[in-house]
Amino acid sequence: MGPRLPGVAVLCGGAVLAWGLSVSVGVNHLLVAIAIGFVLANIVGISDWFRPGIRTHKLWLATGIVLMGASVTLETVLEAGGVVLVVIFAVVGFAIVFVEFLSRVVFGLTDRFGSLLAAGTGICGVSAVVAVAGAIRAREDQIAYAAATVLLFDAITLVVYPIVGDLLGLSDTVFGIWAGLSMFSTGPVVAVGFAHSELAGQWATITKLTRNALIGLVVLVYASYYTQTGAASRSSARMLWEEFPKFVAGFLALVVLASAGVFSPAQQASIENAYNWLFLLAFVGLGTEIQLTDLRNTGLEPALVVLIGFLAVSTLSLALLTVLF
Amino acid sequence: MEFDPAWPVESVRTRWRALERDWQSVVIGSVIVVLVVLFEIPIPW
Repeated sequence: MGPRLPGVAVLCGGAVLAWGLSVSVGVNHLLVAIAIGFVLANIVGISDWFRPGIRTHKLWLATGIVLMGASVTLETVLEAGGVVLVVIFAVVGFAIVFVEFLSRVVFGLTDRFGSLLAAGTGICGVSAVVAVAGAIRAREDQIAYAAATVLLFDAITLVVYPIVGDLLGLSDTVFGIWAGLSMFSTGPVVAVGFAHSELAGQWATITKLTRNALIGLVVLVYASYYTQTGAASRSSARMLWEEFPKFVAGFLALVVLASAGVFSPAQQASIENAYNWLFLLAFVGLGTEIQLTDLRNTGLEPALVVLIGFLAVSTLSLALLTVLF
Repeated sequence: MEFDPAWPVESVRTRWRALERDWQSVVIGSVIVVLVVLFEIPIPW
């Protein structure tokens, strides 16, 4: 741990700063954490002394995902009701397939990067990007770009959704489920929902949590897909296990424990706070992976892919909900 | 035989370094869960 301490201390300092800024300015704390990392790497500059510790950010990401399992229960899925559940499966499935198609076929992005954007659009923004990234062994810069792209849309939807909801005169139920279905990160979904009305906030939260519960399934599918495609000649069960991200086992174990009611509400809140802090630590580190020179090379394509995917998902889900409710 | 007070620490360190990062994350996550559940340690936000 010795050589890593200074870098880990920088991550911790950045996390606390991100938390403080998000509380005082009202901006998404993960976005602030990435921005701090970005500024550290591109403007301030990072000394070699800090690099070993800053590189530990992947460990904090994986640990955060493991702990996230405690917030996902099978009951949450059932609470949303049968119809909403079917709509969620349909919209998430469409979003993933559509964004994969856009990324690979239309824009020619790499398979893994496309999968990160698809998971981010289909499930729940940064959490899904992080979970799938671990499962498919995506590169750090790909995670950072995908996460930053998704978080950019968090900021945009936070402003646009309430305006569109009022303009279209949507009912509380439709608006809440629509926000929960199509927006990215949980925080903005809850905020937008409750800003509309109490009922909209409740529906937005339930729908979003149900969508979050699909992370495990999507991660499993992606992990299996990339394990098979990356090792065509290695098809044994042992190889499959060797390639399989082990933190998913930890995540699923906590889902089972949470569903069995092992954790009290207070314990669950503490675990949720723990993974929020771990994500903050991790995203300060991830922000340092975004290099301005690389961004120029990447161009606007990832943002365009997510924009088109998001518009399609948002329109489709709103049309579905208007017909159903 | 001489007793080396550093050996348990070194043994833990060696085992830790040998662990794959994914398993390290599971270990750290488990430790946090155990601390929260057994000792009711509140983690603020």
